[in-house]
Amino acid sequence: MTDVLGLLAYLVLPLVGMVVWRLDFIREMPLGARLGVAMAAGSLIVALLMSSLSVIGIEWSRTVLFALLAMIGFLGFLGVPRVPRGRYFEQPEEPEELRGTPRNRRGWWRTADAGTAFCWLLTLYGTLTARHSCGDLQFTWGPKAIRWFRAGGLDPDVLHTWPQLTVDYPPLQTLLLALSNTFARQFPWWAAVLASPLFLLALLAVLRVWSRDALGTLLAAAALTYTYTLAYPAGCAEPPLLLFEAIAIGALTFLDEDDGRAQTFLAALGVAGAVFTKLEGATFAVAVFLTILLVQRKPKRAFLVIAPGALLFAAWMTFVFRNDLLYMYGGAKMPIYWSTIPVVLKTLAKVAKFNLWWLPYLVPIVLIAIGNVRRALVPVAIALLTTGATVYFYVHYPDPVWWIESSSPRVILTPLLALLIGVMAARPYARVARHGVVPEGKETEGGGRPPGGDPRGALGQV
Amino acid sequence: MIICAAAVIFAAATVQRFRWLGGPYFTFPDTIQDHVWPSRFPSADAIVLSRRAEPLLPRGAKVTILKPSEAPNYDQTHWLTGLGMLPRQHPVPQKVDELRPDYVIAIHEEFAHAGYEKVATFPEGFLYKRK
Repeated sequence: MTDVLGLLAYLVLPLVGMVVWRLDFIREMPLGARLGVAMAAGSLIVALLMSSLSVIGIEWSRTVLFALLAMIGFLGFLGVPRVPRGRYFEQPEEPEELRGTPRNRRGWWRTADAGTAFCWLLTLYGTLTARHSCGDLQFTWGPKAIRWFRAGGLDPDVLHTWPQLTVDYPPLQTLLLALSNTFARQFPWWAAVLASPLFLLALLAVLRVWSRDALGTLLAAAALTYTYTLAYPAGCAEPPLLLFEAIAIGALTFLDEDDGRAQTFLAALGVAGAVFTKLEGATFAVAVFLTILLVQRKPKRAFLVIAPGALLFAAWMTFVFRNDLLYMYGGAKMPIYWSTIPVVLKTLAKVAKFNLWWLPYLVPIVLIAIGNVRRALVPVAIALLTTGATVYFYVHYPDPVWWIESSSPRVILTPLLALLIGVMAARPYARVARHGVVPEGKETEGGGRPPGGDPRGALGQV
Repeated sequence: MIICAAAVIFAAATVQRFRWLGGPYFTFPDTIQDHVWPSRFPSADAIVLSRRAEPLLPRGAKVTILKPSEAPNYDQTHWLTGLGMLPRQHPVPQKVDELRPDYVIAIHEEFAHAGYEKVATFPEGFLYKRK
């Protein structure tokens, strides 16, 4: 019963996040993407709400949290006007070129969706049989959440009493675990790990809808399903982190509208969530900022996208400094051991092999290379920048091998995810954002497509 | 075609990985750490021991969890497991002589220490109380 109630907390997240459905460009999306975005938005809202309650000195209790979450959820349903389809998010069920073609081609598409579902079920099975469980859930995330729950808030005294609990780590994942604890009263360990397939499902739903590419989504599902077996992410912060990152990269890659509101809002949501979830979220935010600046050449959008994340980062660091909790972020002041670069690269390459000859990375790289690389510039740039940030992070340790072997299988899921999104973008089926994806010799004011071409995506341009 | 082949390979590799981690395959495990490696980690037993010992521990008692054979550099994941599994107690690191915990949960092996006496024996280890 404890775990059922604990899992219920995660199912409530999309209900809370439905408040973003009030935005017309989200309301227009097909249900899968709307639910996935609501899951991410709900996670961030809950984390912000619980943090804010602690800041103003209100203790977490079922009554307070349930009342506030119900109010926010109710706002999502209240008076949401219907909008005509096609204004922001014109989204046919399947790619144009598959319409009217022989039934077996549509069959392929459905088979790919079934394959995606099968891969997700494998992940669910692996999680249910304790094959994906993250050690750090048991050693840090879980204990920290339990102690915060018992303290009734985001209590710095807990962190001073047990400084082993990665005290300055961003709080989102811990707060979600504490919410789950609030629902169940006892800490629901199984619900904590089962959140992992839920976040993966949300991620796949968003990418499937935004990219319109069933086969690309199948590849993402299969690659993540396999790498999860070696990365052990269940119960750690990577499942929500990857959802936030998928939303940010996916929005910048696939969403295509005239005023850029959807791209900017969803990328900002993804970046803010990532920053509030993990240390690596900060470097991801920098990667997104540089990508918008250099690839999309939209400085205003770059600042708008990064602004909420930067505010959250500043707020969290204020909490850290005011309570004298600097620990992991203090690593930025550590000396750099350039001599360790060969060891770092060698060890990272060994980990990235994933016991399968680097196939999880090689397959997307090959598919992007033989596809339209220009369409995949945004995710590829983010993959390169986050890989660079990973190397930079590890050269701060004089003897980094153990550290890399224990943490990098999860850390390098971010560049992998970016590459998998790159595959979808490089294939002809996906809709790809106009700005910054300029076919050679076809530069136009409106954004890189030949005038008179298909306005929805790059179909037929490859 | 490449994608389909890759997806089949990844799915097969996943199943192979599950097989390598070992069975039972269709039984709900006792702890979240039961099948993360082919051999059982002591931290999985730390979970079970914490559950068994908790009813015997007074609220607020200082307690640590260790595997005696790892002395003096104990694996700190064991007492951190206790930090989550014993929410009503006050787990401390395994510096027994320095921090003098009221109770010591020993995984698998007897804990030979003049300042502690055994108060309970479990299939996975022992519980000691400070004299």
